[in-house]
Amino acid sequence: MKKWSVVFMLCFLTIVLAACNSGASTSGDSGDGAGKGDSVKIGSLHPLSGGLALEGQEMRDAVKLAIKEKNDAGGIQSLGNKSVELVEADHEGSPEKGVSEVQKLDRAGVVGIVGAYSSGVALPATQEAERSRLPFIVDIGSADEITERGFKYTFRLQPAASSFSIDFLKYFKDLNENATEKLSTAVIVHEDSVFGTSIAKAIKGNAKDYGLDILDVLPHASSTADLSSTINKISASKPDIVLVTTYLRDGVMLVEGIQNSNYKPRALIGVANGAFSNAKFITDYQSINNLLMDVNYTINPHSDLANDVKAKYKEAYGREMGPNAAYSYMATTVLLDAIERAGSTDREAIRKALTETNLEDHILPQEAIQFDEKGQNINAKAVLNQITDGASKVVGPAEYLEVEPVYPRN
Amino acid sequence: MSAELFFQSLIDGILMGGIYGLVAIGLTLIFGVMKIINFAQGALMMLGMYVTYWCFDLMGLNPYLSLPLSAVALFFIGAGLQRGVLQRMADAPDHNQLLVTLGITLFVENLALVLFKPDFRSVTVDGLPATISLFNLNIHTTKLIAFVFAVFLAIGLFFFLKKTFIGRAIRATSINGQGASLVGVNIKRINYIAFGIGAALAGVAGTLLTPFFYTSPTVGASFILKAFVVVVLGGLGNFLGALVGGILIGVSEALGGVLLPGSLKDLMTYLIFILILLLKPNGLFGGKTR
Repeated sequence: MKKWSVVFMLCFLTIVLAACNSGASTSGDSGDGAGKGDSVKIGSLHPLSGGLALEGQEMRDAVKLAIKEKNDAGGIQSLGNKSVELVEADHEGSPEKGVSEVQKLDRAGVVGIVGAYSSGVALPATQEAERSRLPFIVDIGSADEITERGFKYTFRLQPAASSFSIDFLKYFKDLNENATEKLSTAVIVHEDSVFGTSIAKAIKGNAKDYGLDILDVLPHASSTADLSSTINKISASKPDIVLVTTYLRDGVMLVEGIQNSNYKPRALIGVANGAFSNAKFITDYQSINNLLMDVNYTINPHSDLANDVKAKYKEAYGREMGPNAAYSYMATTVLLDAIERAGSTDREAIRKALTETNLEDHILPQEAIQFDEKGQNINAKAVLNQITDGASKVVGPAEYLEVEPVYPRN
Repeated sequence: MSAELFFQSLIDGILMGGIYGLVAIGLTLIFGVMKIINFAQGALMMLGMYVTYWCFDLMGLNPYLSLPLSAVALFFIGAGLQRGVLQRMADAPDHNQLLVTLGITLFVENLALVLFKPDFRSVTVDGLPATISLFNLNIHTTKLIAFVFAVFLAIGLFFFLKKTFIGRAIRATSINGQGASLVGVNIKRINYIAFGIGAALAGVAGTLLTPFFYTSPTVGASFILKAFVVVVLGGLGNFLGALVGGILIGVSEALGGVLLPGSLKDLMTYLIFILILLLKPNGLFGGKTR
């Protein structure tokens, strides 16, 4: 009898433990920066502590940079050169904290928020902002639902999860058309949360139209200790291409496992992959990452403005500006542009200005930044990257090409 | 399913199973012999991984050479935990001890998050081929090494508990503490040693994992539940049982992963677990130990 209760308790505790892992971390509240009544306040809501702290701080710095540039150029001209003030908030990667920080930013009197990096936080945080009638620009946060709920105050810069899948299929078709050797079969390996599952489903559903035959779909939990059965299944079905939607750790495990198995797929392509576009993975795992491809968001490599911004960012914060920071920078710029056009600090006026956004001068690989009626950046594009010699280069589409793709890779 | 796929999965399953057994060995000592449900075992294993990682990163030490270091470091951490925390609650209800070890887990993991950053880190072993090919089957060398260690540790501990004075004292203390102290066993000291050994085994498991698994503050969560399953399967306190239980889980996972679609492999593992507990409540080798 006692043994059974112990086993149940263990199961229960494991669940508790898993839940705690994501949330438990030290609190680092940043001040509300109240004071100067004569400035326009905007909020930055990113994970500044906890497991995603590094990414969050990079993004916060990008918001800072955009504001600093605006102030150096004389502030908001339509408001009589009012300066812009940043109010920082830290959601620690926790949805509850995200909601309470939005309330705090609301009380601090911000006219708009830029955030939130993870979909899990962006979903409730935008809901809270909607309730407070507070414009919220999602820089990064890929779940389709973020802009599918009919919210008026939510805008998103990043391409949505489902559009990643279609972008991949388009690139696949282009690659095949230009290749001497055509590839036609694929196996999808994905982590089994909403992120990986939705992407895999969208690819499988549309693959036929693009001439791709999906042989198998292999989900796994991102926390798994072992991917050997996935790898054995790949070896058994011998696909031309392995499509990979994973987080960092399981992605590295998979690539290493394939490297050590008997079967070498002709191409390994990530779709919104957390590993293949990770700066550390690209530089530190050169023995296994050569010629991997990834369909993901990034900075426009051909824009002079982008190079200028990257240089300024590096000078100010001593780090390379990654794709995440670039999206935060642009989200802030979009918000400042809307305030300028609204000529008012009234949130409703700013929201209206945001819906009319048509920003052509930007650092992203896309046409003008415009939002559809759902608040999604309609021209947002995921590009195709390929890793060569420890650097990730854009290999598609043609207008943003840095180097020619190597396809198939072996 | 082709024969090649079957045998490749079988080998992968056996090796992974040995690793589950390895992680469970320290647990079966603490859980099975001392009757403490040590949720912190995963966190202690993580500390062992970091000992190896830092030795490798800062001094370029071959991961396998840091084995004694992580064992000794974790022995003292374990003994310290027993002395500073668990011993003080020896008379408290069992679930209090369980919750304390959960608290220790959260504390240690979050401390590691602050000190070591959440990055995934990995080590490389120079001069070791990644795989050996045998009849067209791939065997991972680093997993094989961990497997061999698991077998030797299980056998070694079995004899340690049966034949040495300390081993017998540990068993005596676990069966009847009062009786043991009456015949001159210093129970407190034995408990420090036993918990220390259990923690040292977690450190050893961690070190042997680092060449093929990524070190990060939350790595313990990937193993701890399976380790408990393995311990219960193999029979509490039975080291060879832990090894066999681990292999059973590993093989069922590997074959289940190939035979069943999608994420169902874990389902098969826990189905076997439930069935064995129903048919043999003391675990596969239960009842033998005491």
